[in-house]
Amino acid sequence: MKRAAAVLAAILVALACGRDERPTAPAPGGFSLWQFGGHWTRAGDGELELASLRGTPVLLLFFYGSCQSTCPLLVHELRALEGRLPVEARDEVRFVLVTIDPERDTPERLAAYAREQALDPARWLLLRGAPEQVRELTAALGVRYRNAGDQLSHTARVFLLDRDGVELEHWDGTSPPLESLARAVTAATRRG
Amino acid sequence: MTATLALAAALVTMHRVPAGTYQPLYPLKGESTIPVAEFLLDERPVTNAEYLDFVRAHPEWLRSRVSPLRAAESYLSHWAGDLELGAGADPAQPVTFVSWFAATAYCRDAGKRLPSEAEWELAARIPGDGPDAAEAERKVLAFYGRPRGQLPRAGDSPPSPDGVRDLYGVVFEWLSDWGASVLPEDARESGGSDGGYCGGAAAAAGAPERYSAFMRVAFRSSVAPRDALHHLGFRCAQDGS
Repeated sequence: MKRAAAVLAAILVALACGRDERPTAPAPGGFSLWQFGGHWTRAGDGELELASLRGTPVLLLFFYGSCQSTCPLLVHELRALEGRLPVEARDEVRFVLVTIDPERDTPERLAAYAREQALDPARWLLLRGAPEQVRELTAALGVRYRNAGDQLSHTARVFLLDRDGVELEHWDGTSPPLESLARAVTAATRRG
Repeated sequence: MTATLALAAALVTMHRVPAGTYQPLYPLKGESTIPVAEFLLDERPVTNAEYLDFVRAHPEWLRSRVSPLRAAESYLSHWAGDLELGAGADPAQPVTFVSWFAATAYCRDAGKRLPSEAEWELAARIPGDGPDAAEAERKVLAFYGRPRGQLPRAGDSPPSPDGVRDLYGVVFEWLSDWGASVLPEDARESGGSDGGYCGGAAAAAGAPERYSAFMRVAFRSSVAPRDALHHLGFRCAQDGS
C-alpha cells in the first residue's frame, strides 16, 4: 500500500507539474478581460463596471486585506514601480487591486487599507465583487486561490493589460523585475 | 425559448445532501476540515438536450459565437452544428466539451450554481473503511484508469445514499471553485510561481488512502477553465435553505 501511495504521489506530482509546461496564461491573446460583466464596488464608495477601465493600461493584482506577507510585498513593489515610471506613464496607468476575500474586505476596509498603504486614489483602484465574479475573473487569467476562512492561498502574479483590457504580460513571484515592468508599462502607455 | 429551458431544467430532480465536512487533500496551514452546509444537487449531469435548449435561448453560447476567452476551440465540437446534435451526441447523454465558464453560465441561468469541490466530494463520499468501501474505491479507480468509449445516458447508474446518480463512472464534472484544489501549501512563502507547489505538495497531502479523490484533484488541477473536453461535464447545485 505504501508503495502504491508513493507511485500515485509521483504520478500526481508529474500531472500537476506537467500543467506548467502548457502556456501559463489560459486566456488566448487578443481578447478583452473587460467583457466580464457585473458591478464592482470601489474602495470607499461607488460602483464601476470593468468595461469603464477601457482606454487605460492597467496593472492588475489579486490580493486580500488581511494578507500578511505576499500582498504587502507586492503592493510595496508596485509602489516602488509607480515611483520609477516616467511622469506621463505614471499619470496614465491604473493600479487595480481586486480582493479575493470580498466577505471581509468591505469597501470601508479596502479604503482603510488604501490609506494605510498610502495609495494615491487618483491612480489606485481597489475593487470588490461578488465571490462568483471574482472566481470568473481569476479563472480567465489562470489565477488559482483557495479561501478557507481564516486562511487564503493564491497565485502571486501581476498582470499588465493594454488599453483594451487584453493581457500583455505577467510576472510571477513577490519581487517582480521592476526594470522590465517599468519598460513594459511605459511602452503600453505609449501605444495608441 | 426560455419556457423550454425552464421546463428542461425543471425536469432534473434535485436531492438534498445533508450537512457534513470535507477534508481537503492539500490543506492550507492550520486548515483541517471544511464545513459544508446542507445543499441540493442535481440527480444527474446536464444532458446534450438540456444544453441545446440553453444555447438556443442564449446565442452567445453557440459554438460559432462563443468568446474564445470563455471556451476553447473544442467547445461542443462533438455536435453536428450550432443547433444540431447529430450522430456524435445523443440527447440523453451528459453534455461534454463545455468549458467552466459555460457550465457556470448554464447553472446561473437555471437559477442554480455549480457545486463547490467540498460539496461534490461530500455527495460522492465513500463512507466507512470496511471491505465494501475498499471495493467501491477499487471500482472508481478502475473507471478512472480505463479509456472511455461511448458515454452512457445520464441518470442510468444506481443512486448514492442521497439519491444522486452518475457521480462515478460517467464523466468528470466542473466545480464552482476552479483553481482551489491544488495550491502551494502556503503561496505566501512559495515565491509565488504556480509551479511552487510541485515537490512539496504531495508530501503535505493528508489521507493517502483516498486514491480516487487524489486522482480527481489531479485531473481538476490539470484543466484550465476554457478547456472543453470529452468526459468533462457538469451538474448544478443550490443552497439548501
